[in-house]
Amino acid sequence: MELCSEEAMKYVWEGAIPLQIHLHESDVTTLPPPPPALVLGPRIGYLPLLVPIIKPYFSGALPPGEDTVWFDYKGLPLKWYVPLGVLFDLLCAEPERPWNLTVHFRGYPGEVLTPCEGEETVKWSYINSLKEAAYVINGNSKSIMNMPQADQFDLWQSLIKGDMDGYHRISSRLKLGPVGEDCILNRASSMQSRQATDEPEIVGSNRPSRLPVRLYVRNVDQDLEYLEDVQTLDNWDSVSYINRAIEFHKEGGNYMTLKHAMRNILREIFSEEASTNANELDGTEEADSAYRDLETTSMKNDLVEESTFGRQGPNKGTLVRIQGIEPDLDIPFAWVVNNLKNPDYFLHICVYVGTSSKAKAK
Amino acid sequence: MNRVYIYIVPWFIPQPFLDPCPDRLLHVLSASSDENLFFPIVVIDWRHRFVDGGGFSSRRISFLLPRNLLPQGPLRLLPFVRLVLAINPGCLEELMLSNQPWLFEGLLGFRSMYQWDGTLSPSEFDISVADLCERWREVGTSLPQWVWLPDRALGALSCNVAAGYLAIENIYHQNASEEGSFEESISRDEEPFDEATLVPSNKNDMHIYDYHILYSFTFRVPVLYFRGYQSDGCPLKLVDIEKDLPAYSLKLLRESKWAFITQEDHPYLHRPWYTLHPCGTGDWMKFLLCSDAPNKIPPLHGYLSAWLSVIGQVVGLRIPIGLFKSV
Repeated sequence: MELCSEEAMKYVWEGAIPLQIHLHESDVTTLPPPPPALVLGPRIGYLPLLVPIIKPYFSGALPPGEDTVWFDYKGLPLKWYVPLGVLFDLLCAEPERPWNLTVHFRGYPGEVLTPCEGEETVKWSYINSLKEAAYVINGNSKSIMNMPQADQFDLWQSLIKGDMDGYHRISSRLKLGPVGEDCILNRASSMQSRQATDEPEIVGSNRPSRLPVRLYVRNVDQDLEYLEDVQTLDNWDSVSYINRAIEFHKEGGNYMTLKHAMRNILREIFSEEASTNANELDGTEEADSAYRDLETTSMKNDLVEESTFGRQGPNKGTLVRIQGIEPDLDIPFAWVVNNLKNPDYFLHICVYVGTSSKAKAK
Repeated sequence: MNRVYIYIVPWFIPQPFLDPCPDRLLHVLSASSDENLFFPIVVIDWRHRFVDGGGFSSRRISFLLPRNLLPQGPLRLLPFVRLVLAINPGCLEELMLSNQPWLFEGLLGFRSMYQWDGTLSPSEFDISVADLCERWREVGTSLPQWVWLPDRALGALSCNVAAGYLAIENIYHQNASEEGSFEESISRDEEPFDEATLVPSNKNDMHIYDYHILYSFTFRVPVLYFRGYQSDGCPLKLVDIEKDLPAYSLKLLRESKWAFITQEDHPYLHRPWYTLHPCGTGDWMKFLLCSDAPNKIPPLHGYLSAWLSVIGQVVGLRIPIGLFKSV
């Protein structure tokens, strides 16, 4: 299990964002307006799942009529199907704690947000993401389509309650990982998969591994050295949403790194990154030597610590954020996927693209 | 019980194509006294029209012919989709009309025989986009032209293949009272809707549609996004859109688990559009293009035209007939 870290997964599952949720002034019918609700929102959860907590809190101040709940951050309607942690990483260049959000119970902006009728809609959005991820990994969605109703319910409840162990008990039956050619568990699941399949799947065995990734790219047109100066996002057209599958393979006998993965999707941006790294050979060599000893237990712990709490590396025109941390780009991509993915099996990556300090110096 | 060869009829074949089958079949079967008589019923290829008189104009297709009229030698049928069933004529009629999912499931059981999985790569998608635009232009239809709109969010930072969408917009569809009539508006490359070009008093009952074709990097197939709105710009609800669809399309969308309309954010426009879920596309495109030579990857430049010939029917987008030549 050298590519899987129980400790890292636990950090991801327990990740939470302190939210300060204000009721929009157009929905206030009492004087004085109610104080904001202080809620701890799970990173891997979804905004509509907070409504059962928020609505009772504000119910005394709401106008009569049917509720259609939605949220905005500084005027930007928030996409409810994007995990909460991803929204935070994407919209707060400099983390804002607590994160001030506004909740509305009327005036749903149907031209910008897809309809959401509550927990059931979020659940099916999650199941669809799971089907899509299964298709990317296995070439079909059978393991999700054939999931018993009870398992589906338990999986969803585990996600709602933040029950990681309960989740893994069921998700392990979906045969969706972990990723990594050298991982013993991966081989075991592969053998199990082969036994379970009736047809020989000639095509499947030749197919390269694919990993489900969703990128949210912001072009901020300024130096990333001062994140507090990054302007607030005012519409979703400034975000490039990239739903892509990354082919997973070894690079010349070495592990595929996060840098390689990013280069596969955003070639121009991260090619510049590579050329920049070429000018800092000492740093590169040091990083390589560090990760070459990945099998060592002590180095494994150090790796976990670095990834979990983020390394403050120098900004080079781009900033990559996954689960709220900025991982070193030389980290093995299989480790990133196995430990930092969301419960929908997608790795959600936020990328800030700014003008590099060198370009500014010119 | 008579033994009948039943070949899978793809789910996307419009219902009228199936109507003539049962009566003729029942008639022939009831007239037969030979217990070992076989009637091969082959897939109705969408590229062939139904010819009055009980036959299809294709060397590969034999249909409802008495045994003594079969051509000499074995028929070059499609063994990989053949199911042999003992079935009585009444059940056969019900079977042929029911469009049961298990008929298509049977096809999935043979997936391992193929080398090609019915998908295409991003660069192949780009090639088939160019091919579709060229065919559409050559046909000289009165409909607007397809226009490719690249993803501009990353500007010069991104030149990824297949990043963008193919658009045909402002397709007019009159309400059900004037069924089947299509009109055209001037095609626009830019998104803003110029209401000045419309005469509201004359067209307040018109429904206008935009269609976008995107590439799904997950499923590696094309995906259709579309939306409908009235002449004043008010978006149409799904129930209103369904009223504009052909009758067989409605039946298909309600009964099939492979084709259904959902509302999702347009990946490039970041607002809700309707889409046909692409999870089954690879399977039926494989069937559509591989039926002639199952072990050979077909030329993929015509993929998008073939795909549109099916999807266009489902959503009521008229496809010029000339588009199908040499697909």
